Amino acid sequence: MKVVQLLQTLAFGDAVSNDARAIDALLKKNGYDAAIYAKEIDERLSRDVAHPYAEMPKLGKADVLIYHLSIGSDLIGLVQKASCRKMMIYHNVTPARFFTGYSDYAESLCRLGAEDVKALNHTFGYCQADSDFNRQELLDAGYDCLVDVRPILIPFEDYAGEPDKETVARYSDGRTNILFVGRLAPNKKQEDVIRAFACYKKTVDPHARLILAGSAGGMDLYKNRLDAYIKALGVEDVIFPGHISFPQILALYRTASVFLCMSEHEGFCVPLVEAMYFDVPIVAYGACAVPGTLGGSGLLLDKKNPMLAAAVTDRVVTDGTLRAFVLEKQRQRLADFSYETVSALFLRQFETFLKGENQ
Amino acid sequence: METIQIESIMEEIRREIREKPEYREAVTFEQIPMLSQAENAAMMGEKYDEELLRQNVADMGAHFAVPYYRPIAGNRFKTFFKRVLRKLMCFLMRPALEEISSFHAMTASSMNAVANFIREQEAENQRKDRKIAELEKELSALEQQKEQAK
Repeated sequence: MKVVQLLQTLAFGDAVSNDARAIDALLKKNGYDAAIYAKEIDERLSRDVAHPYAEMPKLGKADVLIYHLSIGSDLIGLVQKASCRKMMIYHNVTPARFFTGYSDYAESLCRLGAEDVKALNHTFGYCQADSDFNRQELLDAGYDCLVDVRPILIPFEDYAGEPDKETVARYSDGRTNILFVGRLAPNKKQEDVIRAFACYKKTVDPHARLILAGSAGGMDLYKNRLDAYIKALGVEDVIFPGHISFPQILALYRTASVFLCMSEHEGFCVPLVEAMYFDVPIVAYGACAVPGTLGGSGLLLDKKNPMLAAAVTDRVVTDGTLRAFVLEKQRQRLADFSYETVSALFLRQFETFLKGENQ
Repeated sequence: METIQIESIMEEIRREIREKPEYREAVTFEQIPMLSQAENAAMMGEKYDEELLRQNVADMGAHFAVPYYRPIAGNRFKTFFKRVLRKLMCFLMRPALEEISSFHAMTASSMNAVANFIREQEAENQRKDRKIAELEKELSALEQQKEQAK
């Protein structure tokens, strides 16, 4: 029996691709004949990680096709035609409206993604969703197969690596480092992080710095608008490290005083879990899957008020008791995302699907 | 661990904020003009961004084909209507889309070659820079020896 994972893009370091790779490793470890096929494979990934979709073998009735849906793809024709057992992992599709004016390309892919969600209804015998928010979206779209929640599988041992020494030295100067990690994208609302930071600088700590880590690839219009906004506000110490290495990302988490997320659309938000892992207190706007991922930990903002964000950030930075409490709650929540917990959950759900008990 | 009522802390912070004068930013994000693709390209000028090029080339490679057939979703009446329309337009749309896809494929392939060439040139330049630095080091050591010999 072959188990094939199919996705539009296998990128370097994004949550969906990392999930697919972690599942592939887990399946192989458990004796399955597993492989990943994708239409677009990042050239930085070795040829052993994934294969072009055109090389995908013909799947028989006993084989399993796992389709990762996060963006529009013409691979869905292939999925619909396949005559094997089919399962979908739904990572959510960002609403296209966020990209209007910034990227016609991203906007059209997201619009197609939303259409794909509708078109693929009744195609799968079983679905998994990263979060309860994603699960609800599938149910709202009329999916009548079983949809289970299974968080993204994160091999945390990767985070135990050595952080970049130069970056650690640069940001370990006693100043408050406010961090947000995530590609530059309009749905992630980096402008609201900047807005809250400007207020924080003005009313709380003029020496603080803001680090917005994440690739701007394909979002240069948005990046240029953010630059213009920073210039117009006259706010200093906003750093865009751009495309950085993994040890540099580790260094940013290790030197962060607080993780500030103002995102308005997330299907799971892996950086929140990463912040939990690195013991960085989280202040986040409670939209979409964010409250679910935090699961009662971190500090949730109910409004996009820069004064509220600045005051809560200040409180968690300066109040040691609150900080210790928030970090303890985050550690408890992190246990729910441990590799052992999520991999056991995936295998249990997957094997039930194979037995046909959850269809 | 001391138990803390987060909600009461949040309420306390909200109360403090209400008592403070309202924070007004010099400019809102919405007031920052959104540039068009053409204006942005003009503004970017000749600025070279390796990450942007890599991303764009990868996107081109994955999406150069404009498929004629896409699954149709919707209720039975809508799907039927759309299918009929697709069938009627086929003779016109399919050759045009195939031509567009073929043009895209050539462009994507050329851009890929350009990106690879830039990457190779950059690697070569870095190798030469390292070599120049080594040679300069050797030269200064020889000059020092020469000075000492004098």
